[in-house]
Amino acid sequence: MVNRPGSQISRRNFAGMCIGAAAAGASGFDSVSQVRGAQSSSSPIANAVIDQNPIRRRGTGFRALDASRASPGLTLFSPIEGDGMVYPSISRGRSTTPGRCLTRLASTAT
Amino acid sequence: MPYPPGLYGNLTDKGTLFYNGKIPNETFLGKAPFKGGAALEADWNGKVLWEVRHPNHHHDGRLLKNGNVLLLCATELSNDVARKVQGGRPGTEEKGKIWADYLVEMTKDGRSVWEWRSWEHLDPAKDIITAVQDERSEWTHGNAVMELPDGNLLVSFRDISTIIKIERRTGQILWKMGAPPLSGQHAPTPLPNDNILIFDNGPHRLDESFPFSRVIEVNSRTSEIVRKYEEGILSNFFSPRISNAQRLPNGNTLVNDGWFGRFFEVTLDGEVVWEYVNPYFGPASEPANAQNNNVFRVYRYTEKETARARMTI
Repeated sequence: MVNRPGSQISRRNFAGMCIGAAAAGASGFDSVSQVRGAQSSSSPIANAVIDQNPIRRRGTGFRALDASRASPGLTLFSPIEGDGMVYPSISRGRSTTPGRCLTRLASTAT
Repeated sequence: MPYPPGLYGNLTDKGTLFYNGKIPNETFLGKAPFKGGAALEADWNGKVLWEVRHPNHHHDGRLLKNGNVLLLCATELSNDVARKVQGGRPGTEEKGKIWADYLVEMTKDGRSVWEWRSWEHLDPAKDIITAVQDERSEWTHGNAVMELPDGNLLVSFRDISTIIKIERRTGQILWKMGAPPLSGQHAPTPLPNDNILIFDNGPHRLDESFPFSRVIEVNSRTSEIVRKYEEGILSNFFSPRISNAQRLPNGNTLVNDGWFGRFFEVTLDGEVVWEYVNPYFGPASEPANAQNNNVFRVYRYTEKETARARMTI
């Protein structure tokens, strides 16, 4: 069983957030931060619940993007700790909503 | 998919999904994180078109141009061969045994029609386990197999830091590259110019004092490194296991820093144009600091290729 990021962001939001990040440029990258709890620039750090996973704590999703120089296309990957899903990532520098194939694959995952 | 990844999938030339799945068993291999067990082809809706199983399959499987399936497999070496294996940490064999790789070609109805055995072509006294600290449970640790445009095969062995080109007809080794410069490499991939793109992980380099990863393009005739991507501060890019790279149509290179689930695209000049970190962590049963977002391989497909995939219903 994979620990999907749905505990923090839903699958739909994940895609949407990536699109948002891409559209907003570098300033949008905060939106994909995986720091748990209420931590933000306006919250007292002392009150935050700190994610104990060091990779996730540094942030997931898009971390940088120059769409004009990216090779057009769709990126596919299967997280090793996944449950058989194959995820799409980025098309022309934008994140895409999981396509029909990928949605169906997800629905058949065990 | 009916199985967890064992360890990845890719789109075929006709747009279907070829997927390697994991079926654990009670053997040393069966409990390993790199276990495979099944290879299948699925359409855009996820309908499985066919499936083959092999209990010794691990890491990689490929759909061949002739329609058969090539599986990377492993088994226990005979004691005669095992006692000749050099390198690694003495006493770390698996219950006194050492495993090594072989290739199996199967038809889609599950018949084995061809085999190639590493111990018949590599030398356990010369093709040694590269890292002195490595366990001796395995000798070769194959992690990739690939059919070349000429029908011959490219195979990568992590524990002996070696890539070989196998003549399909005779089984003979036509080309070989080892350590140094290679170190625990993954995913050798042929390029249109006949060079080979390699993710050279670098956990234990024989020619450098520091561990670091790099992506190298190698001339397959001279073994010369003709291009490489590495970080200015070498240790800032280090994936000790898994990972791959892919040359893209615009000349950029997609790099999968797999241990950290980080994918990025670099120009020929080495400039990063995007970076993405896999947000899917697991296993859920583990505490947060023991979860990983590892990704064995990442592949990028053009819009034309993904459009073709949509037609496979």
